Amino acid sequence: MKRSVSNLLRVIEWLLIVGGVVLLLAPMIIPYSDMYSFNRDFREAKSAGIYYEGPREKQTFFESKLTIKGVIYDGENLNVYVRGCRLGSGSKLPQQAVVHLPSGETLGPRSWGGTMNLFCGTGVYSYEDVPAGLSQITFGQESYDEAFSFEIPLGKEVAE
Amino acid sequence: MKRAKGHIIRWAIIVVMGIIVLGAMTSFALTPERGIRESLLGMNLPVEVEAVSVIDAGGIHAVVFWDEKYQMYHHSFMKQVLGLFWEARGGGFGTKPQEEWQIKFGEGYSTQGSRAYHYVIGWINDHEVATVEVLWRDGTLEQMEPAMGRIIHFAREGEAGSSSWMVEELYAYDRNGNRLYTLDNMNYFAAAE
Repeated sequence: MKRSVSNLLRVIEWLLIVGGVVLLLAPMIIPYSDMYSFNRDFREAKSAGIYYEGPREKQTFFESKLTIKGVIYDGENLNVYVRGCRLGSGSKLPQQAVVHLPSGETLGPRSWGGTMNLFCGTGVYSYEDVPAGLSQITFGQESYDEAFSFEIPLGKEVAE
Repeated sequence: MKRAKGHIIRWAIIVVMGIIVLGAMTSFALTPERGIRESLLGMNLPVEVEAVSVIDAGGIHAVVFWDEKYQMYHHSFMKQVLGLFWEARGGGFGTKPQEEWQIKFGEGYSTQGSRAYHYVIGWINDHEVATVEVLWRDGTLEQMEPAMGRIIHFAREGEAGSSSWMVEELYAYDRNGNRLYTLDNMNYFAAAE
């Protein structure tokens, strides 16, 4: 009798543990989205010679540590890939961002699409009808006295 | 004895997991200000705000936050998880009371299951106004003193799909009880002269 209660309890315990890991903990750590495959984008862009590295620099914007993962620019479309990290359930990436061109023109603002977990998020900001032959862009945003601004040279592409 | 040890270890794991999940959901926010932080950061809004009006509308709280530095307010429905931790459940953010209106209000609602949470929010620039009164569509009257003398805030719980919780009219009175403004859904503001 005592033994069977213990066994039942053991089953309940394991159900709670496995259920908790699969349903609650895993989704917080593994970003759930099959819409984005950034690594594949980068691989393809590298072999096409249209991938550019971002500056090795971290900037803080609303408590989120931002880095540029890369830029894909084919002379017409410009995609800026950004990673932002901050512990918390809210969004870790700037709501919106603009691109400043050397000509003084501004593209955007654009909001992002991407994936996020409890610690970090990665997203892409996409701009269309971009002038060809750009050698440098500035990617940034301001909001209520907080700002970030990355200077990204588009001089030398990174090949695979 | 050995069996008991296994149970204790498993329950310890379950409790730790529960704490992690609860922490991720609520950030263990013991105050409304702490509970709204994630929403504000996510929207790239400053987090130095103060809860100036908290209305208990049944299962949910309607909270208005004031940002003194940028002179704007946010409102959010908030749930108290386990009766302790404040968790935001959507709202409206970054409204700046503009000088061009003496008084202005808007209403909205949030449906959660079979319940609807209706709110009225607005602001007053006319310093004569001392109290605000709402006449709900079901005939009940409710009065409030504007938060900080300028923010109008009402919230009520009702049945989802029922219209009895909408605003019929909204009145503003001076210190002596004289009616200064009568507003409704069609005339929801009074312009400054």
